[in-house]
Amino acid sequence: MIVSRRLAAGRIALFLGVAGITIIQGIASVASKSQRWSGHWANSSVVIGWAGVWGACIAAGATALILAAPRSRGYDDLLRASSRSQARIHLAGLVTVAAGSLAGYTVVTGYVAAATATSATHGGLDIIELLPTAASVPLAVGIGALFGRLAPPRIAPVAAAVAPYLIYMAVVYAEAYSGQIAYMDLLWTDQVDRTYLRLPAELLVSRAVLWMMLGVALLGLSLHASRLAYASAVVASLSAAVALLSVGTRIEVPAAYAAACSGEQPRVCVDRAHDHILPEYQREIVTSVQPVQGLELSTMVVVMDEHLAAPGADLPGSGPDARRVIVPIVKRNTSPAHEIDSATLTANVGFALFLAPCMARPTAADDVGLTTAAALYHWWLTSHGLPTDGTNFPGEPSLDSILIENEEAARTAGSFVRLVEEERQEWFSESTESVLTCTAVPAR
Amino acid sequence: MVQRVNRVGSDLHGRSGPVSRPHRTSAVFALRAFAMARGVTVRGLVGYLLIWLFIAAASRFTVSATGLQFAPPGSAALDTVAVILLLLPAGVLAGTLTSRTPHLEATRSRSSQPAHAIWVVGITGVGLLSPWLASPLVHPSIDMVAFFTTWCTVLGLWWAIARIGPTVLALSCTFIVLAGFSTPGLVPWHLNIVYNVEIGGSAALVATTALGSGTILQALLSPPPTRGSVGRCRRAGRPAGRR
Repeated sequence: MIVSRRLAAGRIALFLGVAGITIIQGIASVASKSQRWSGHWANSSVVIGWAGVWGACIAAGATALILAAPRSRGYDDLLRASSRSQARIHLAGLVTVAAGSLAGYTVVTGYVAAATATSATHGGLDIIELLPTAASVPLAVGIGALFGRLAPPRIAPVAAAVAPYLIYMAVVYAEAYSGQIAYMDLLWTDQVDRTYLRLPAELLVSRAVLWMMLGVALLGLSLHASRLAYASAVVASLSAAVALLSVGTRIEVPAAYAAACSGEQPRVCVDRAHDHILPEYQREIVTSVQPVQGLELSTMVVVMDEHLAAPGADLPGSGPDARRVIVPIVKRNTSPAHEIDSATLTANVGFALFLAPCMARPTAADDVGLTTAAALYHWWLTSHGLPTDGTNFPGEPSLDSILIENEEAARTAGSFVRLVEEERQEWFSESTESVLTCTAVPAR
Repeated sequence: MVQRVNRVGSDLHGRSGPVSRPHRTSAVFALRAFAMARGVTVRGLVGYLLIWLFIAAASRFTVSATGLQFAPPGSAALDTVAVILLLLPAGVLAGTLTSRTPHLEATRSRSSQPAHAIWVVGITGVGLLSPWLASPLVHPSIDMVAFFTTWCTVLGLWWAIARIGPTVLALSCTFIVLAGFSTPGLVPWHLNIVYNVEIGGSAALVATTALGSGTILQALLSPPPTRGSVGRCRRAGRPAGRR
């Protein structure tokens, strides 16, 4: 009775340990890239797989730990002499690890679903996208069992914990060094953005079956269940064949490109894949253009990318002749992101209003319009408390360098700062057209 | 000179003549027995060398196929695979710090603590030498300071935690720390002592602290298996006996 109670306590500790670490690392992994999925169901369904990169290592290490325990503690001979099969002896421990890992992924799924449900406007969790992550559990248990039985007992848990990551990175390296996009499609998790693209369902299902059956085969091999190992290996081979037929295939989602616009001024438009951030995008744009109140913005439509800025793009409520200003949504290393970074967006608004028109036409270094634009953008950044060294978003020019090289721009920036609020508003209301066409003459 | 000192030492103990060959051989035997009691085997040593060869080979790959190709010498950090692989030699070395025969050593007439401390310092020396021995095989663009400090941090962290808690906790915590640094976006770049070669000074400070505290904890605290076995004897109602 005492033994069974201690055994049960040990199993509960193992379950909680595996589940707890899986949850912590899973939530940390997906939360650190929230700009890639928050509010978008298709991407939210995929990101749970990112928890499976380190999650597989945890399950494999825990499995190796319990399977190597008889050898490291010196009672392996007793188990070998038992009338029960090896599979039956270790079944409870293996099920505990698998259940802990699955419980961890379930909580991570719950976190992602809760975060997305608050803002998503359409769609739902894609169960098929979750299958490869679930399949990584038997794979990790199989790898752990193999190392737990064969590797030196003291080093078995660490070797097993490292192994799934090595497999993952070996495929990443194979893809990087071969230049093929196919290899990572075979893994139990991938980095393909689902905003405008989908992966075929047969690929997702076949790769899930491949990794699950490979795990079962390794498990069978480790526990002397040779028939199970053989049958699983055959199914895994067939699944690999099916998966290889569809690797590299991408299905475009045309509906994701459709425009969704707000009715307020200034008008803003995003595509349907980002319509969950439309109210916040509108709010941020309105807030950031407060300092340029004299600027006439009623004829302008703020759009999030070049696709919506193209003359042929249909923007509901706006005519084809409306001036389209691109203010991209950038957060960390993602554009278009599914979350808004307020500071980056403000810098992008200033760039779109003042400097972007100069990029649309050929300009010389001493062009008066360009000089004024640089001075205005410098004023914009400093008035919003943003850095002027070109670090607000990728591709931003360094205003510090420009003002050092162009003394006229530095003088213009200085004189613009010295204007009182009313003078600045008056100048903007007189110069709207010239500012938006990069032909403005500096205020004196 | 050494012989003279030995002779004097021997005379003091009432013996005459220099240290005899059988005496020296018995010291080698004792050292071998001491090492073997800590799991040191020829197979293990070969395995340890192979792991370092594997790490050196892994250092030649990055996620970007052209990453190391155009990098100036000593400008790049190890890629994640090589960093994660450092757990293997750390685990192997940590395995040699505890005795497989704690009951046998508990019956020694002298305290086992000084010998244990010397052994820990010796293994730390092996740990410090290992990356330098592997360095000729590591890709030239890898920053050796980053390589060395990462290894020392891993080793020190593992040793410190292994002395306070069970081995599985040491493995888990060290793995979590490395995974945290290796997950993009999780640790701010200016604090990423594993992959940001610009902050080598901070990385060296962390590595020195980690390895120093790990070595001190391992050397000064008595090994847990001995404590545990004595504890078990007491719990079973039997006297633990004189140590």
